[in-house]
Amino acid sequence: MEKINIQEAIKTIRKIYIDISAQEAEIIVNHYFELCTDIEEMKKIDVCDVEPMDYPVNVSLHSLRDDSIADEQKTSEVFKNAKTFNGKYVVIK
Amino acid sequence: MKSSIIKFHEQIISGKKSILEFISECEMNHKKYGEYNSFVTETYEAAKIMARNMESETGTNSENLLFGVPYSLKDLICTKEIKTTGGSPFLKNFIPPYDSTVYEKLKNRNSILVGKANLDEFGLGGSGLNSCAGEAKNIFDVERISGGSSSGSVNNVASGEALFSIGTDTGDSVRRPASFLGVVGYKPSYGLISRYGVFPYSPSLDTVGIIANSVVDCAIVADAIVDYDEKDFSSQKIETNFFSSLQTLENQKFAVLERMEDYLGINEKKLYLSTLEKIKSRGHSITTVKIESQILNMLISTYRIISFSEAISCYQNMTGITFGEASEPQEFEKWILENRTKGFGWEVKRRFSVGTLMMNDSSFESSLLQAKKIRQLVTNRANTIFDEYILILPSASSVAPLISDIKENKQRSTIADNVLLMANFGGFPSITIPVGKVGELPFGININLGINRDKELLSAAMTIESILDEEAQNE
Repeated sequence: MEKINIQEAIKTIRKIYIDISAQEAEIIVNHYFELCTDIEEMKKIDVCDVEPMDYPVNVSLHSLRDDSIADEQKTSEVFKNAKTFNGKYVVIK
Repeated sequence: MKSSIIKFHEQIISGKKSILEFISECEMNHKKYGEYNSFVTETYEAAKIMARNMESETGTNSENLLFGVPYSLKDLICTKEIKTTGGSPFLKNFIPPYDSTVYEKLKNRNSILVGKANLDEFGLGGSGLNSCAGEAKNIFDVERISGGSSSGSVNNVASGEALFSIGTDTGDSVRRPASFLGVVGYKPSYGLISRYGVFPYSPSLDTVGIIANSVVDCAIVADAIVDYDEKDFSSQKIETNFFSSLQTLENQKFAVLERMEDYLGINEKKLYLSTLEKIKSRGHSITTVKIESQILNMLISTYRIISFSEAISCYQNMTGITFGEASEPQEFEKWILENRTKGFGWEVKRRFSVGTLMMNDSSFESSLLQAKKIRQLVTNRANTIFDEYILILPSASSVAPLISDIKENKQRSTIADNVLLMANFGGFPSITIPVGKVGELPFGININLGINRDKELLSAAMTIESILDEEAQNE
């Protein structure tokens, strides 16, 4: 695993649109280093002939359902989450 | 049969008590335990109106054991018209425009919702301390955690605010808090209860679970909500009748993991070992089996790699534009950055950030692959045990820890705090039942079987529950 400093950590975490302070980054980087150490240990476990598991059940058995037009979500219900709206448009400012 | 739901049902059918009286009692308990912060939103007033309207229908519902039964939902389960926050500042005012399948099913059975239970934000936490609604504290000791993430749900049942609660379990979030509150926490096999309308954490591990006062109560609720649902891609078909299939088992072959008692506190160890002795004294066998400690030590890292990466992906839609609270609009990217930074609580940000650093590493692909292989390896080992035995585990290393120890990072977890993860890795059914107290604080054991063997598991759990009840009466 690659070493990372506080500023690099802040920059990387911004990629998921979260801003953290230098103090927070320090805690996060420490937790990340702990996880890196564990990952190194994890790689020592012999997993020859073991297939990776994505899900505990075979989800590929499920076919995608056909698209259908449903009128279940009424505009008035969706607008309950909007602070202000004009007709059928949410006003964001 | 030990069952709060059957007792409730008998009393309302016989007319000894009305549904309204029961709901009012639950509300009284809520007032008594209000400071413990078990609800994000309580709905007792609406529940009482429903109860009044339903009284005249009681006679025609003699077969419906869940008729009028007061319950709560973890506040990440969507309820149309009722705020569903996920315990997050981001969704503190969110009113879903649709119902989750699990809520719809309970409404169809005429059970009565009394509130949305507190939780760790979006289920990412194990303490109950990370919620926009405040810290959910343990009703047995206000200085202690209730556990998480289904913190409010276990408190609701233990305090009598509700007769059962629906939670979710990604790592142990129903079963470990159940141990801390002395209630039963049941995680069914993966895919048995629909997750449609349930906020995700890690979709390959997430399972909706049941918290109740007894194994029988869990079986009754399971009959109502276990069903195939095409709206959930992981939904599985299974024959139900959990309640009518319950039976007391004889001469069962149980197994325990080698040296697991060494990872418990002194008094918890005594309680765990004395519980095993009580089970053996009734003609059941308990064999010690082994999973290599090298594998058990890696359970938590494997969990973190898988769950953090899945969670980051699930919550990329939380921008404050399509969902969630938003600040004053500004340049698009800055706006999203500000909304997400303000909207998520610290524990969610911590997990997402550690996960992002991990995913940004050039070796992440091989790390994730290794984690998925270890997940399979653990599942294989457990399945070998299930070929012959029902596996008993401690449900935690200790009774509920002190809040101060959690905040000051003094609480050290052991393998016993991580072994419940095995059930999520393999999708196994797993249930925690209370076995006694250390001082005034409850403690439980956890019972496991192979995937889709839920009926056998519930019967085994009921058998042990009966043994412990009988022994307690004799003491």
